[in-house]
Amino acid sequence: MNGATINAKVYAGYAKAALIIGTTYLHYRPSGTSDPVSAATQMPSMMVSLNADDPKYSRPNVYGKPTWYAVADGAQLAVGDYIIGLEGTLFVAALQPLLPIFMVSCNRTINFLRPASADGVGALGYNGADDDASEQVLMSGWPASVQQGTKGEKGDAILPGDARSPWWSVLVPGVAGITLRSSDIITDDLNRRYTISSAELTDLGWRLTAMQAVT
Amino acid sequence: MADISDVLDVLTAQTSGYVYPNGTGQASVAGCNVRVYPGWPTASSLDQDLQVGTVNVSIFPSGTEMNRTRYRPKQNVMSVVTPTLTLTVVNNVVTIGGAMPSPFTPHNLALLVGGVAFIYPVQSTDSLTTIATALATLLAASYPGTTSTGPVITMPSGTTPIVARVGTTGQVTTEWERQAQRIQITVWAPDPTTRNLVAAAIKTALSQVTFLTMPDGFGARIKTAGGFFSDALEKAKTYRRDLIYEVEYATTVTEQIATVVAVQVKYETQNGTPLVTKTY
Repeated sequence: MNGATINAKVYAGYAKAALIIGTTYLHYRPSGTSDPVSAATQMPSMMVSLNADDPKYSRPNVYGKPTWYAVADGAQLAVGDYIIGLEGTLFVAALQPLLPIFMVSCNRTINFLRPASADGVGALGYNGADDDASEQVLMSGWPASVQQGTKGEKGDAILPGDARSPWWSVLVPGVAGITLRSSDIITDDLNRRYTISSAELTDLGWRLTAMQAVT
Repeated sequence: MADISDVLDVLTAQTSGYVYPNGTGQASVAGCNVRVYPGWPTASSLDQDLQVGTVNVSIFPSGTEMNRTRYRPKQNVMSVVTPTLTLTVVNNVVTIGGAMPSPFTPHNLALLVGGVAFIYPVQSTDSLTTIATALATLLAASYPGTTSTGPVITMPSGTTPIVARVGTTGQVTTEWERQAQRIQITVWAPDPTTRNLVAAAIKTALSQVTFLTMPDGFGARIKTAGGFFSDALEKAKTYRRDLIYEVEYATTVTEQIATVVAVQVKYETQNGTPLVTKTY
């Protein structure tokens, strides 16, 4: 008996429990940088039971907490997988040995863009333009957790009716070959636009701080 | 018309020439890559460039525009299309010569006979013969017996003097407003030495320039208006120098109009009673 064998038994136990207490979730394994949840990435559905905050089924999910624990057959899951079912869309943040399966609930679908960099030397065209046509798409169609941050800043336009521009905390799986960085742009399915302020690649995926770009 | 964007574009082209005196195929004055552009740098692009030693020079208006309008609007002839058709008069015989313009440009052929102008606007489908026929028809209404054969018009003998003129079109530009705008030329360099080399090349070259030539053909007065030198971004390995210039440029409107081939003058008494009308 070793850690791997014990972990396999734990996951087998989760799988049996999920068959009894879980509900059916669609299962997707992203491939590439776009449309991680699509027919092309779909895997066989699986039974999953989710509980918030701790693995004891003793507390409900609360505001500002996108993290969940899953009871499911961990052997069928991989970090970065998405599941869609009763509790919405979640991605697998971590499959740590002998520990509960750690999930993140997604409330938005987002895209990552990067303003085009200048090419060539000498006299170039107008550089201040950051338009849709010139932005480089890094990732598109990714369900993500976009949670309200703790503070805001006054918008640059300083209009009489301006409210403060809110900060947001974004969690999204890491994608091989993509390194997000400050000043990259996020857009979401509500047509909101954000600028990444800090980008941290953790073993649970990307943890980003972004400021909403508003006038 | 000249607009602030034209000022930025002209300064971009000029500045690029100063930092690449031998062309962009050769090394810049600092030996590194230099990008020159109107507009502010985008943060991520600038960071990326400075990491690999590429200097950015951004050109952007600074502060508010100031009104410098001081002249009444006046049309200035900027160019006139050279006619390809000719009119030759020998006694009472007029010959249409030259060639139809290709590509077509408007031509007005005018004959002044007995103080009256007979003007035919040439059509794109015309030939020398059809022009002569059309002019002869106009003339025949007042001078019966006028005929044409090929490109030659023959008026009744003794019909002189005949004055012939060929008009085309030209570009006329009117200055409606004049304004002064400060322009900030910012050098973003990865080290102080590179900053100094690039900024000094721009500063030295622009100090010898009095007027920029704008796309509308007008000159724009340029003069230095200060600048500043900043190491405030040294933590990010960014060294900045701003050169500020005041550029006074005209807001113009350019029109294409026909050249004058005949002028009609009406003479009146002081109380407005017509006396005589003459065509010159």
